[in-house]
Amino acid sequence: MKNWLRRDGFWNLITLMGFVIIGLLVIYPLFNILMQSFISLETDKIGLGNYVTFFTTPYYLKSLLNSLVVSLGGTLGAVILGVPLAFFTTRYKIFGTPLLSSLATLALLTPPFLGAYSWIVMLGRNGFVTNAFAKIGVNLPTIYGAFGIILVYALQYYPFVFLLTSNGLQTIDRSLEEAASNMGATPFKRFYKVTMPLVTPSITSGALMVFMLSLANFGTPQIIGGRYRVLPTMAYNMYTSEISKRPAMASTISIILVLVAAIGIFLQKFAARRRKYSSVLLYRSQTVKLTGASNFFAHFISYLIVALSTLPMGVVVVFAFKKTKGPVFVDGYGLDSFRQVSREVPTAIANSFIYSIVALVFIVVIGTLLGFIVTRRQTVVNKILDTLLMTPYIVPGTVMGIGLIIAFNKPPIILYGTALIVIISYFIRRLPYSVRSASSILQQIDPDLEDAGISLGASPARAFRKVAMPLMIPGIVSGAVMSWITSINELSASILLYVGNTTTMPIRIYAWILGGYFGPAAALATILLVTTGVALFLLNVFGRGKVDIV
Amino acid sequence: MYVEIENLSKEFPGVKALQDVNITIEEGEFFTLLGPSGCGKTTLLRIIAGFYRQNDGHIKVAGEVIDNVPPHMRDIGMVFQNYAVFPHMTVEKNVAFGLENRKVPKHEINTRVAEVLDMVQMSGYEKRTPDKLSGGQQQRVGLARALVIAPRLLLMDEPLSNLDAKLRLNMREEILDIQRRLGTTAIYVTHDQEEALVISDRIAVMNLGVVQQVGTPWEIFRDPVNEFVSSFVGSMNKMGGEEAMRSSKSVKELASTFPPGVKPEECTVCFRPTDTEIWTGSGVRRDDSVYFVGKVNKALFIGTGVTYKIIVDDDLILTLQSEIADPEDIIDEGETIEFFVEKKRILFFDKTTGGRLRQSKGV
Repeated sequence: MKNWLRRDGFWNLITLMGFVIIGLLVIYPLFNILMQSFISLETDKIGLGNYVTFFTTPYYLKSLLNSLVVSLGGTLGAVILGVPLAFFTTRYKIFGTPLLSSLATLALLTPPFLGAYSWIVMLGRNGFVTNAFAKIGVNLPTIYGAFGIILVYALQYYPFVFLLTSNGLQTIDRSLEEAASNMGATPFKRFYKVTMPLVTPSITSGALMVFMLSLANFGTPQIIGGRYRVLPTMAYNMYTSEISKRPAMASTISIILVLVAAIGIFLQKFAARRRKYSSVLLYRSQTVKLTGASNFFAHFISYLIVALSTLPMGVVVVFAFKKTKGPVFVDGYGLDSFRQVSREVPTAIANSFIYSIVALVFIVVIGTLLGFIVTRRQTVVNKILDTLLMTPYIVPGTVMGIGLIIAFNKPPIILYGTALIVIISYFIRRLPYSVRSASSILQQIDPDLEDAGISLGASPARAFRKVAMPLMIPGIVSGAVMSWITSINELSASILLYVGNTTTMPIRIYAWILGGYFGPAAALATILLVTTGVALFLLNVFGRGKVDIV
Repeated sequence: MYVEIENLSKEFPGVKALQDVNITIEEGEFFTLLGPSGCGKTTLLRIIAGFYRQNDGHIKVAGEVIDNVPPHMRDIGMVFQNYAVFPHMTVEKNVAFGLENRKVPKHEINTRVAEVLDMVQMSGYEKRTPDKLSGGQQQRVGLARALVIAPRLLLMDEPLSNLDAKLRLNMREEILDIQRRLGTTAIYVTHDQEEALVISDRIAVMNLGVVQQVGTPWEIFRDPVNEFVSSFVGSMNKMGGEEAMRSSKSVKELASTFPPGVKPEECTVCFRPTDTEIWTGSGVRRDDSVYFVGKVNKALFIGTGVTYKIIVDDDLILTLQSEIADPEDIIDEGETIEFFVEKKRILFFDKTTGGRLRQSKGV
């Protein structure tokens, strides 16, 4: 009996820790932002003055509109790219499908601002494609602004739609489509009346994910947007210009951004509720081998989509090896840029690894423990904690960064300028994913297995250690790799939180791009890309289950 | 008595899962809990295993009250419906798991694992992982794993219900053979009445958390205590007492079989399809039987004979089972026939309570 009390005590402590973490690192910073947003910038009075300013000043209001335009545009683009690719690769024999799938995943996991930068290298004012066309007298339309942002989002995030839709298509029982044909539906009608409705929930949840990520993204619009401001860049720029005063407008914009994100997540929840049509999966759908023109067409489209999305990575790597003279590329290839990187920013590389690994340890340990209590110890208190744990989902990185600064640059806790605050931002942004992943792993483990262990004489603790733990580890490792990749590529919060000696690789790349130093930026980006790629590769080779990007 | 379940009750929020269950089981007995889903049979099994805690009552095994013994110290083996074979361990490791928990010396583990795998015909599969095994093989591992610890009691929770029909028939005989050989006391849960009849020494039929009847398969089948048991175990023709009187060709005979003091409108008259015989019209009518008249609605050939669906009393459909060797003997649809049932095979139940009403001894 006493033994059990001790165990309960331990788990209660974990619950308490969960509340403290969320309270201190999410609720408290958000509360600080909220307070700032209520203090009028002009009059210092408490009220909705800042919000009135936001909604009546075209300069501010435009950013909200712009955010919606690029997010919706990016989402639409991702659906247009992702759905056909999913359909072709699941229903037809496309040569090299696993490779296409891996490349798409890799494209997804590279930071979007690298894509933005790469498209500038190709199609920007001095881009090599632009210049090539200029030589033959063709002036290409500008890449800067909404078009460029949407292009980057669509090519960056379509793998979400692709992977979720593929999964949806693969889990439609073949007999449903056969039944449609049997009842006289033409192939087109069968697709339109049966296949599409069944796979729509998957497409919708992928699309909403794209929308949320596009809405929260900071690096892409900052780099390729030019004067085209969206909510995160507006919040960032207001914050940096208000740094001497109170961050009133930055806070107001942050709150509006969180509200829009909250509406997005609400829609996502709503869609997810209707996500699964219950049907028995007895016969998986078959992949058909196409012939002739349609075969060529399917291959062409599939490869084109994946090639377009991997092209930016290729450009980055190639330009990393180009010789440079100051900010200008010159003919010939060499390791100049890499030398410059190793000379100038060894700290940034070291910091990136140290911070992301330290954050990862906490993400995995605390995420798994919290995942366990919200899944296997469903008390009312833990259910509340479960809901609270999801709040970081709706807080974009920029907002998280602003919140953490406002909250921790003043007593009682001063963390601004330390490495710890960067690590905290990695940790708290990734924690909900880690909790979810641990919890879904646990849900997949039949409780009968633990019961079987117990009935064979293992104590509950031993049954957990010998039965549940080993089954959880592959999932935890795969989740950990994902967390690490996201952390080491993080820009939007850390760009606000870093000081000179706590800079990281993405921050350095971003700064170089802004300064026009494309050579070293490409070299450092290549290092980041290779790191990400190697991590993914190791996971594919040694990880048992599939890569779970969601 | 080896296992004693005394006044056991279990409540889940809003549901009385078990109400005042009393069962005793003898050492070496193969005992089955039979009932429809939701009847409480699995709940009872999980309480015995220690995964649930009863609200009331006690469980004794070999004279020891085990109510407060945690599940991992009960020494009770369990076979799960979904096998619950550890997917990350080989067959060998799965089976050795319980022995390792008991700190059995390594060499003894090896011998005992080999022995038990031989018993369930899984020798040669030691190094396989469960994902390389069929459902039937996984369940053999599940059984071996529960048996190897030489449990004082073996619990089986619908162990065959996830297997296909043919394998199910083979496996149930194997399980019975092994249980007989080892003499392990076994409690088996199933919703399949035929399986229960074949495999059990005794059966407890349960419904809505209440034990309806405990008895040998023969008693359960032939002498059900209420209408629920009679129709859950085997199939049963049912007609109201008045309908029976109306469709009988021998009203007097039928009237004399009614339990003393029971009016036709107060009871249900039941008999099994297999206890009927078609009257060919030749010879002398039997005075130990009651005759009914009806019209053939359907004749269904089922290999071993023919199942007739007969309309009696205008709208009531009864089932008759008839052994027929030649196709020309099948009675055509639409023909009027007479059939008879031995008086002692007719069961009467109270129309309102469903309780059995017994015929007077003389019949």
